[in-house]
Amino acid sequence: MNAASSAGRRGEFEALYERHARAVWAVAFARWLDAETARDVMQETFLRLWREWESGEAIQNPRAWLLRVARNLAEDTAKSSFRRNGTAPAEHFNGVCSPSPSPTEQLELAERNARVRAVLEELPAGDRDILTLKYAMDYDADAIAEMLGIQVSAVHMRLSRARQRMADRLTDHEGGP
Amino acid sequence: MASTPLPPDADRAFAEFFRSQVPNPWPACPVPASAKPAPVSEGAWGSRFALAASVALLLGLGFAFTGGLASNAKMPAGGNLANGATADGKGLLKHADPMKDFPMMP
Repeated sequence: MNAASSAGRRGEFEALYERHARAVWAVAFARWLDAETARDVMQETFLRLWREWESGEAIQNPRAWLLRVARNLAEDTAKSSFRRNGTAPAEHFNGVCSPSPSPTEQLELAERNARVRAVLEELPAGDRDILTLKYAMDYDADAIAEMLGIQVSAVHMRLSRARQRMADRLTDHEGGP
Repeated sequence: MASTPLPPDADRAFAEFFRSQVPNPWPACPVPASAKPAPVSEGAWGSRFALAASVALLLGLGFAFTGGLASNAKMPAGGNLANGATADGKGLLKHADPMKDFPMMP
């Protein structure tokens, strides 16, 4: 690869990162519900794309390729982490990534997030993909359907089901002891 | 323990959770190892200079030795036992007297 084509490839690589990195992060996050792991998976996924290019492989649909590799990597990460640590500790799942001004607010947010996380863990992985793309990345139903290769009606149905489950959980909590 | 204020609806709960998880700032595009220009440090320049100096020294010594041998090729007359010898051995040691150093028997 000469310097000019290498620079061109680098530009193309950065454009792909700009365009698809959020979707890649979302599918990785949906599997493990951990932001750090999702970031690592996202970066590794893109580095693997570069290595594929270097080995001369032609990738017809980079977005589909990236999402598939990210899912596989996230799955492998989940398995290896489970082998190392057993089920992940609660404090790992309840980590708060956003900056919080006070310990009390941080505690409240952690509690709310733990409740959401509990609902998410009960959902199928496909539903978590949709929720992450919708709420973390602000994709609309059409874009999510196109990205995941499913019907728009299926996106709406799964979103509705997840919201209903969340609402039930919140109602249970409010009415509970 | 005081009850935690709840988000008004499921939609908001999801939004709050997911937005709190998104990396901020967003991570920069990774730089593949092969796309990075090879760094040239001062140490690298130093080792290159040392290598060049070593090669130059070796070449210089090589020329000095070969030049020296060429100048020493002239041997004193009779100093080389093979002078004037041919492949069949004729002429070999023709200047030497093999009995010179042996004592004569009475």
